[in-house]
Amino acid sequence: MGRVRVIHYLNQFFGGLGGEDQAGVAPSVIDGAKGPGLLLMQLDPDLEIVATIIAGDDHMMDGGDAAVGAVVDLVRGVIDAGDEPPALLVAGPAFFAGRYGLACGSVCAAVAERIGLPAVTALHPENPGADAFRRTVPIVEAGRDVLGMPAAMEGLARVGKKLAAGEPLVPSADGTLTRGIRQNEFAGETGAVRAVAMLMKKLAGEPFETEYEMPLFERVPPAPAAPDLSSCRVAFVTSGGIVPRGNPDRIESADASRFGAYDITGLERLSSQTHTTVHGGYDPTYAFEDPNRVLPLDVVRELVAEGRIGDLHETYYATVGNATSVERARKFGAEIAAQLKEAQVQAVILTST
Amino acid sequence: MPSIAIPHPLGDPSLSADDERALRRRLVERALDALTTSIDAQTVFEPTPV
Repeated sequence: MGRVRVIHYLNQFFGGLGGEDQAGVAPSVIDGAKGPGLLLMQLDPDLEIVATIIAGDDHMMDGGDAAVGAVVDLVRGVIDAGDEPPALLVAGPAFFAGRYGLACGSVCAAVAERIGLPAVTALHPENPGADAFRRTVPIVEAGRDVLGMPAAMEGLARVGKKLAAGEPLVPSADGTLTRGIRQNEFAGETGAVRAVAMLMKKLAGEPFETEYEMPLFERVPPAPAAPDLSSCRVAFVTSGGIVPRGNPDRIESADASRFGAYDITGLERLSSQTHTTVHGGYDPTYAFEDPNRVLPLDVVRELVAEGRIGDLHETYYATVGNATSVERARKFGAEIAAQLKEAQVQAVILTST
Repeated sequence: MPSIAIPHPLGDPSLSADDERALRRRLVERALDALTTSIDAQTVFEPTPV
């Protein structure tokens, strides 16, 4: 392929404006390459950086969508100004720098989505930007710091050219972070044969490569203990699919895309007349008969009446935890927690099935 | 907190209604213990024996 015209995004430091004292500067654009961009062009003469956009990390963090939108506008300006439009945006590399990594991720995502310009960045896999954008943005795996600059730039050049040419990426071959996308491919042997071969290698202590990486689950620090429940407001949350009869929010029985918030004011207990389960992953017979077996409203009302619990929040939250992705569950959790905090709930009884 | 079974974590259909309710109450009381206990790592709260 011929020359690829590139727009480069850098933070204030790599853009040569200064250190932390310049972290608040708004995005601006200069002609040609700067800093790491010069290395990119040295590494691959096919790549020509026509413009460099520089913005302060704090500005991008604090400025939200307006700051990202300003960068997108600058990119549009560069595209409109030239006869031959750029075919690629390269951001960073940002290595392990959190604010810079998040800025690179949001700029790449916005430019690709709003302008349709392919965009790539390079981050250390543990950069918060990698976690936030790996599913939407192609990210070249980079080292922790500038010692990894040549390798990251080589990867950006290689992957960037593929993106500009519209070629698909394969993370294991291209050195990019996995995006959680599975593609079918033909293998010479069946899964059973491959699995046994892998097992034999494992038993022999030989290196082997899994075909399906297990997700790494984050460790969640426990919340502090509730001080005195007799003065606390307690709420129910369940992943057991207990909903009012008729399932008003149409929560799916597997791979739920939503949760519901349901009023229990005036109800002393759940019953088969008022509530049901829509969970598709367990035998629902017992929850149909008596939904308190999953959401113990009856005894919690009793404990409130006795003063053991200060107050029961009159809205409970429910979803179906059946083949629901961790990512979605995390999103539900954050939204439910925000609503519970708003309602001044201090403790939660979470039941699952 | 481990509970009774996946389809009826807070109940046991083999018990009489009164006994089942008493069982559910013990489980919830144990949950209240857990809520008021300070922990710094994943901690399993076994149900109190009957």
